[in-house]
Amino acid sequence: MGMYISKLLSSIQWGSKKLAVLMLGLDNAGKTTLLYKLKLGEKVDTVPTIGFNVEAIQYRNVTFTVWDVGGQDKIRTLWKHYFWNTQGLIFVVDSNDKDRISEARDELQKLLSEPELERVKVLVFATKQDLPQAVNVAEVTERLGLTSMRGRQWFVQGCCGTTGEGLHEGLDWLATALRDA
Amino acid sequence: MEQELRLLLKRPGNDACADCGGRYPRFASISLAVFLCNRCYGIHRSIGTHITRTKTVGLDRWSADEVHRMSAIGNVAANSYWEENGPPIFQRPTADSPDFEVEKWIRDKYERKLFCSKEKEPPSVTPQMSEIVNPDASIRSVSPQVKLLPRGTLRCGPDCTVPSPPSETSSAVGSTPRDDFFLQLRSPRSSQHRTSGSAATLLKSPVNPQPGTSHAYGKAVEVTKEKQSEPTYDDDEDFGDFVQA
Repeated sequence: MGMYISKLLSSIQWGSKKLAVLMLGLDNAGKTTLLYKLKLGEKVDTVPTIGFNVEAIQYRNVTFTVWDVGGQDKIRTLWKHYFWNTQGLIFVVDSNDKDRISEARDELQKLLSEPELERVKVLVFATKQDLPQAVNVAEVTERLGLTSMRGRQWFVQGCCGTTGEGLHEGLDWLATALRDA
Repeated sequence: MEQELRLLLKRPGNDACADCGGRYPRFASISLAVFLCNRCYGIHRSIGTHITRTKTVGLDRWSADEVHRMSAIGNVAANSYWEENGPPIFQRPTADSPDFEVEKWIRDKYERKLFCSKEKEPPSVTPQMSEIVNPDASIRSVSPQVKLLPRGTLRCGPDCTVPSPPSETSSAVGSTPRDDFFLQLRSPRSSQHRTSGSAATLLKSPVNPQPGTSHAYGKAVEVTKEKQSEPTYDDDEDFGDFVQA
């Protein structure tokens, strides 16, 4: 009985909650594929994002407004224009691209040192887990330098953009973390 | 670098997509050293970096080694290897072919390696060449030299990587990436905000949790695993190993 009341209260409390989420990562990490997998439930063929995609994703009682900004080298300087009013950061890492995880780490650390992103919750999607050379989530976490990070809430979730496995678990965490904030 | 790349794109062979022959390629696979059209670039992107690693001309920064590799190999030399035993020209996809046909062609060519000679290695750039390249020199001053190495020869080109042994961490928590597919890591701090969890995700309590100490914050990482049906706990041993790692 108590559980039902708790659930009811919980749904009333943030029934119409809207959260602004920024999705960043290196080029060809799979950001746009994840966005449209979440939005449409199917895999779309993507071209490099020059600029951004934005979609409202309804998940349980939360509406995530997800901004997916292109990750090509020369347009990463535009990321800072999307920092304002962001509550959550989804950082997408290509687990299959071992050689560039260090580059991803540098970009992530740069983002985390931004004053405007000081309070954001960080969800890392270690995507492309289905590919043969994908490194596991523990190793991605280690290589991104998250295990030694203090004073910030983060969560690393292995996922696959083509099947959608792992995506909802990540959103679950983000919704909970932002609700508790 | 960009200027040099644009010059490379004007070379015979590089002025058409290596896979479908489409005009004005502005994209490239740096691991295969071929220039591609927009559509084939999209297909290469979706295959994975273990087969093909892509870049755009104009939006990405290129290293001197990468440009040199594109210069030394390029579409003609790469295709002479990858399509050596390919079907006759009229059976190959063109820029007008449907997407699924081109994707099959690209996967057959690079992923399944159906058309290349089994006796040869892919075109590679010799280490000497890589060393003598002067990044400031005009790309035209570097003569393209492609060497087909016999099988078994150690290649040390700019893109040559030595596979690293599995780390302690990965071996501690699971043997292969597939095993760890649903392994999730949670930041130590987030455990304060842990809720009862959804049906799909079951959270494990850390072994000997020591909230407040820096050691626990640094090492205690919660591991969760998703189970399709009813969630069950893993052995504590797994978790203990991981904590030590």
